[in-house]
Amino acid sequence: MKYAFNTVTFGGVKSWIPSYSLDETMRRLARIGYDAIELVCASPHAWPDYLSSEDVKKIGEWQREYGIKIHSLTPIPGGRGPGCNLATICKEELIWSRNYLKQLVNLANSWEAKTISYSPGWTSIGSTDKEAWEIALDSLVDIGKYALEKGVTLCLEPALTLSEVVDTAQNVLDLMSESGLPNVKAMFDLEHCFNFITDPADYARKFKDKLGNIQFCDRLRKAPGTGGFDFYPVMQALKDIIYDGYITIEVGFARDSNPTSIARKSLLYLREVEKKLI
Amino acid sequence: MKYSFSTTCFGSGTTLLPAYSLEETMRILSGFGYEGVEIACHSPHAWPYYMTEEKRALVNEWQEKYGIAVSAVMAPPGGGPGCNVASTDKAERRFSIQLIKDVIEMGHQWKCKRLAFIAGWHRFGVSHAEAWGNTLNAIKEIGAYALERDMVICIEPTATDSNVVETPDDALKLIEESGLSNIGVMFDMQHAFFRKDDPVDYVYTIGKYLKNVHLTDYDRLTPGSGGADFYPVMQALKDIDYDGYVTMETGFARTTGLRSITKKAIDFLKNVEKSLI
Repeated sequence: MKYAFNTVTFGGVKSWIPSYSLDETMRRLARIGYDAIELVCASPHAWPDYLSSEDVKKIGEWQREYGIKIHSLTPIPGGRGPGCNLATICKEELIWSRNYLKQLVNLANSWEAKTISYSPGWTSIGSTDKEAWEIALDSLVDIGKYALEKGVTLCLEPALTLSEVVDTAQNVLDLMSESGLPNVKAMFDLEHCFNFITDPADYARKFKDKLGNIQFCDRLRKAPGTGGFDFYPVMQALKDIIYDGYITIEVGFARDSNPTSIARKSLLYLREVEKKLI
Repeated sequence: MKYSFSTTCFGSGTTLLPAYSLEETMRILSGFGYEGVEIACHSPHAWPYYMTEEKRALVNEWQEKYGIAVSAVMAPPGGGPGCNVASTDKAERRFSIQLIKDVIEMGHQWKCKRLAFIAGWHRFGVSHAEAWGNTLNAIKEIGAYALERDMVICIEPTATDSNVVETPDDALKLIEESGLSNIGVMFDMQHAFFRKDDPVDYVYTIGKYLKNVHLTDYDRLTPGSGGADFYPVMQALKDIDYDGYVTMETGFARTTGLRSITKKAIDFLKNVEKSLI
């Protein structure tokens, strides 16, 4: 298995602190033994508008210097700013959000990252679910065509905890199918499975070769192995479907998460589980 | 007392859903007796760069229509662009200062007199002194801009989330160093709880500089439902002749029933108010 760690824990996004520079984050994660990072493209690490061409080049160099790749980029959805709702009925927000995703495609291309992982949006009061779905689909086609030219794959995340547009595995498969694009895949986050009272192993088997990314956490965003969930079945399912992507750990959204510790514990635990797979 | 409610929980501030339109939010709050609404200026309610002149004018119409005033505006910290005035990244710092100015201008259009100001935070490896210097320079620039628009900047100590201005004393020091007349202080009970401080002490310490207040029960629960005693802090506000808005900032989870918490909060506090001496 290949393991990656999502930078949200190190980047002051969900809680403003702790906050580490991207350089420091990549160095620490490489030392722990991670193969890659999933880079949240927000302040303080990689908000596209704050990155000069020199910054972009330096980040590319850190991959080689520390021996850790950027395998996936994610936008930061939600309030506390411009929103980034790709299913919104607000014209200004929709234009901005699509452009933001295209900026991420350009960055992915610069850093040889192959994947952008995102949730296709959410429904707000004043729009119907059907309307939001159609806007989300238009956004996907628009961004997907752009990404195709740059060799980047879009991975769609069902996010029941957060959204009302793409809640389930079937929603993702339907949206993929309707887009008609070859560079669209599925991903899922265990946290949303927990909220949907769904077995993550079933999601893995349902997506099979369409699975492009997976985000791991234990219950309540704890480090794998510390929240009571049994990771063996979902890890075995990934092996059974011959998943060759990264297992991305997305944990520790609170100020007291101790990023270095939670990153290390997660990796140690999952490697132990991996040894038991048949 | 004049009661206000922060729009954060109505508009994707901490969770993406629930998300109500700003008009619906103002209508609901007015219906329960709120006289003010504190607008967190982010999507979907009021990200300045999505707010055309037409949309801004509508907010004034809604203030009239629903009888509710914009008590304060806030440029939201965290999330995508950060909005961190203490940042060592010059690009982020410049964007953040400009964003806050744009929020001030929008607030001015809505006849709002208060800006809730977050003093920023610093990452590992950056000294507190450097971050403080950045924040001080930012507040001087923002404060001068606000002064021309008759707006008061309310510095909020945010110990739970940040590390530049954590206490009322930090905020008062920043006021003194700024040398500006239109800088005040606000506080949020959550941050006092985080430090295991008594919010009552915050009221008396800040005194005449107190220009806005965020009330919440423990764990961001509705006042009256989490175990905190609101009588002493309300009495303290009366003792110092506080004449600003008492703003509720609660309910950050998706499971929150917004109509329920907004009504419970104001009903509870009005009852507490009756018992003040």
